[in-house]
Amino acid sequence: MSQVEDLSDDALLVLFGNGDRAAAASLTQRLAPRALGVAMRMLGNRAEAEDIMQDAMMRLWRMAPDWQPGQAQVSTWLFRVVTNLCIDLKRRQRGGTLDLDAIPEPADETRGALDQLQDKARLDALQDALMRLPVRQRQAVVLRHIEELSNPEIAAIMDIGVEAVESLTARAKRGLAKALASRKQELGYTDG
Amino acid sequence: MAEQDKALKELDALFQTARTDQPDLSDGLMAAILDDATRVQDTFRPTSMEGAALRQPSLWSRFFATLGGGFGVGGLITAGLAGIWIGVAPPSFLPDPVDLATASVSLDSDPFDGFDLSELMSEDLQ
Repeated sequence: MSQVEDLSDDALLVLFGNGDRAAAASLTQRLAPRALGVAMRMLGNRAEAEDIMQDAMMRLWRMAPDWQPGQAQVSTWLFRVVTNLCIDLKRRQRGGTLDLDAIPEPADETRGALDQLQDKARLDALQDALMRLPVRQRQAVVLRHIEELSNPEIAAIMDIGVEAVESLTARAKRGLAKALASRKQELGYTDG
Repeated sequence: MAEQDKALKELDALFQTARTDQPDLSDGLMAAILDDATRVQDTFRPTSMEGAALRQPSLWSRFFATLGGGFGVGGLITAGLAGIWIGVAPPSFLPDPVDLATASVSLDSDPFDGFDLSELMSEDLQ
């Protein structure tokens, strides 16, 4: 059982497909929080993000018997499903409201309450700015700068070229910087 | 330009903060995902069991295989037919099986009547 923790996502998915129960728990612990994080950044709503993540995990389980080890990363496959489901949801609910209050507060309790409040305000502002971006820019910048995926991985997820990823993330960063610039005072950024 | 660079640096710092702000899975959500996994995994098993059932040979197949498959059973049938044929029409150098079956065997008869032990031993000594 303890060896399961040392296995790659690839190997765990194959084990799951062969009926290993422990593999499901390990894969969930590794991948689900990251998938939930991406969905939350894409949607700005925890409840919707949880539904999307659970749906994506369900698709992962169903796909397990057909998984070809070594051909792709499981996390890349999962992020692709999550982001596509988010885009589909957003398309269906055009004009829907955003629930920014649903984003959890930072867990770091060693820092001062004011710092935490400031971080919370900044993260809310970031989320707000992300939600104003075109969805493809949002997808690219979240995967690149928050999930820290490589450009080729993002290109595979988004089904575009690496140069297109670079262009999307650059435009997204400029858009975010512009959106946040108007709130510098409010967020505690000082000039100089 | 310097203003824009500063804004991008602040943005990078904000991304760094966002990276440490990964959501935790609630116990309920974790349990729901694992329930899904178990349900899906259970659908794999009947399929593989059906496959196993299909692969399980029947009693006749196992009996057939025990006899050596097609070649074995063919040989057995040929040998049986040859035996019947020899029984019905024996070659001339073999005793008639009908006579053998009907001949009375006397308890007084000596099965070694035709052998002369001393003669055999003398042959060995030569």
